[in-house]
Amino acid sequence: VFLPSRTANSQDVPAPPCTVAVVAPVPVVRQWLTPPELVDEAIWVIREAVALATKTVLLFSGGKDSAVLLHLAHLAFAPDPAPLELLHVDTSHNFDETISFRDDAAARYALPLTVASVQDSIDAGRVEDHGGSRNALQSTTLLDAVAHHRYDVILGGARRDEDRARAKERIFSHRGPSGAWDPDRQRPEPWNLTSGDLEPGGQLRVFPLSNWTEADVWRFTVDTGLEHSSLYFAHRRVVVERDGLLVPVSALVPAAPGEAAVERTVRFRTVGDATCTAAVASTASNPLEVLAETIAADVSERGATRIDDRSGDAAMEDRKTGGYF
Amino acid sequence: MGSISRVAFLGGVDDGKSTLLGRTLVAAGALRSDQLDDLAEASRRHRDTDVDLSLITDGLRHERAASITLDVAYRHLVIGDRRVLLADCPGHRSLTANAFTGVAGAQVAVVLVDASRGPTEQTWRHLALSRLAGVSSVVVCVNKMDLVGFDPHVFDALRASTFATASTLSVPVSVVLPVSALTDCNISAPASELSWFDGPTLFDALSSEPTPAQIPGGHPLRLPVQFARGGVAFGSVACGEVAVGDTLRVLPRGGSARVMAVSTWRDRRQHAASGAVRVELSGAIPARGDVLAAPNDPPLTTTSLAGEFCWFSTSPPHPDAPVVVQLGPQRLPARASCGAVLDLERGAWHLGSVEPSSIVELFLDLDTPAWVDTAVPALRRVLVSDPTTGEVLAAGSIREGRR
Repeated sequence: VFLPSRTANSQDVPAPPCTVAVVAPVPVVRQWLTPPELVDEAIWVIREAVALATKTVLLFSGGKDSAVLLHLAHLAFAPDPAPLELLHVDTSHNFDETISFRDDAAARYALPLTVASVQDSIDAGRVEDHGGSRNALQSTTLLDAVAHHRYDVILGGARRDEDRARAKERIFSHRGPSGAWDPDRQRPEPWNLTSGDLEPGGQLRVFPLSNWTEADVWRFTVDTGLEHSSLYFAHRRVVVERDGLLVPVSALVPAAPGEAAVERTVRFRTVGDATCTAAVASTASNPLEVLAETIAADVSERGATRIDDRSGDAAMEDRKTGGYF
Repeated sequence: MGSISRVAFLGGVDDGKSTLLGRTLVAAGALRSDQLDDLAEASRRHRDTDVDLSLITDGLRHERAASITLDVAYRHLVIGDRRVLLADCPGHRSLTANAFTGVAGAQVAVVLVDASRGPTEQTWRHLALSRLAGVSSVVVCVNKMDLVGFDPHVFDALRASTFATASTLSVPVSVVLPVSALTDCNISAPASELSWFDGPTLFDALSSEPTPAQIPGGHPLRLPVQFARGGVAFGSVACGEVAVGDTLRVLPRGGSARVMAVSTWRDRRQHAASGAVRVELSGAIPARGDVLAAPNDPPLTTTSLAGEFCWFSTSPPHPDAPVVVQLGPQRLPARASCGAVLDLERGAWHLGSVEPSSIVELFLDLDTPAWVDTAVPALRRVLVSDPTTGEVLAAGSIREGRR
């Protein structure tokens, strides 16, 4: 496997051990292996995206899906550098661990990283901050950055198993100049073939991990020894219990009056806007243990961790029709 | 052999497809507790009922409001020890392009028939689309058996007419099953109401379907070039094997190149027989759209293609209108003219008007030569689109190239 070497001056994120002794009784069955056709499909899609593009950008947040996507983009062209740039749409509602992981990864893969700030969009009056989650506000910042840098093909790490609106989107999602997803007007995509012709001024959102599951992300991580932010592994953290979710306490999210802030051993299944990402109780400290937990989980990734998607059964669809990725 | 079976569910409006799919997901344990809670809440809100299984995959606002599947949804599940990726395809005729998106790429199609009204034109269309899309087997489910009192005579008559039409349309129907999605009859387990039926359950049929090799064995190398930089070509081996030291033809460009190095995403190696590869070459420099081929048995290069297509556009093909043909990584300016249209009821080809969702014979005259290999599915599949709007007009499969 072509793994980029760590640079000497990279910030040292404590990396989880990737080769570990298995603790639980683990049968050697297929569910522990990454289906090779998913990797081949993702690489095929990434190469197709780059070939269709004038300028390709990969949305990289430092989260696990974008880390897998970045590594696949690297593998698709290695040992040549991947012909693309990285963009992080930064809500400023971050976990410190995500940001240091993001910068470290960009340096290791030696790819240019642009950070587009939602706070700048708010300060410039482009969007209005109503408090709370900034997930929906990201769309304007993303579209402004795409226009400024003239990106026409945008790779994202979204998976169809995340959400029922995502389950409906094409791998190659043609969007108009406003970036809006129109679920009633998707182009046919038989055999994963797409019409490479963009609408005038339009853009192409491409999702190479469409057919991956949360467990596949961890299978691939185990297979390749890929690193992820330390947030995904068990650690001690001060949280409050709110509506059945473990909400991390921070300067952005203080404990409400009457709520008991307690230190628990937790990890994150998804990492997003820090004001709306909940943790799960877990002692899984390495990718194999996380994989075992993911396969056995009784609650979906979003159900367990996303506070904002509980606000309605079409929350994701509404964001996507507004230009969200 | 792939480790994931891709299965498409197809059925006409009100044949009960979304309910069957929801039942399948519930019976396979594919829904987690919060998703079941969401389903119960949505059922109360949209349907005023306890659990409406069809709401599981109808995920969009318009779909839930109108009780109709508008576009394909994809869901993961495990049946037996087989991992399955399900594509829930819309049934309405005006949404054929979306249904074709779902079935093209699947190995198995599950086509529904409503036992109380029998097969419709949409049933035959779905069978014909399954064949055109290249599925290796079709499972026909005669659903709503409860509405006909689980009568074996009704089922036998429907099974006979299904096999008869499938045969005239050359559709590889492997089995016809009686089921009732509402009550999980013969879906995950045999049902006492259907004790007269000695065939498999739907789950048996799906877990025993072999995942077929798409690539013919012993076929010479075909490596379409997706992306190239200098003397380095990136692509996926469609068939055959590429090995260090080989001398390969570069088509349609002409010339030959020697393979200096081969690597996959895992490692550098001496040869590769499938999947995504990177190949270093010395000699002719390929570009996107070329194919690297075995020198003694190259694919046909031609400017004239004929094949069978599903026509999607609301305006019929016009022989003077420019189109773009995509065949693998080739993007080819062309003109398209229409031959015969498939009569779904009789399985016969005749001259007639082309409507959206018609299955038609198209002749493609290319401005420049292209390569094609009709023996390999990935090397004969084609999209035809409008060069100005990007609208996909048709998708299909080349049957014949003429020198």
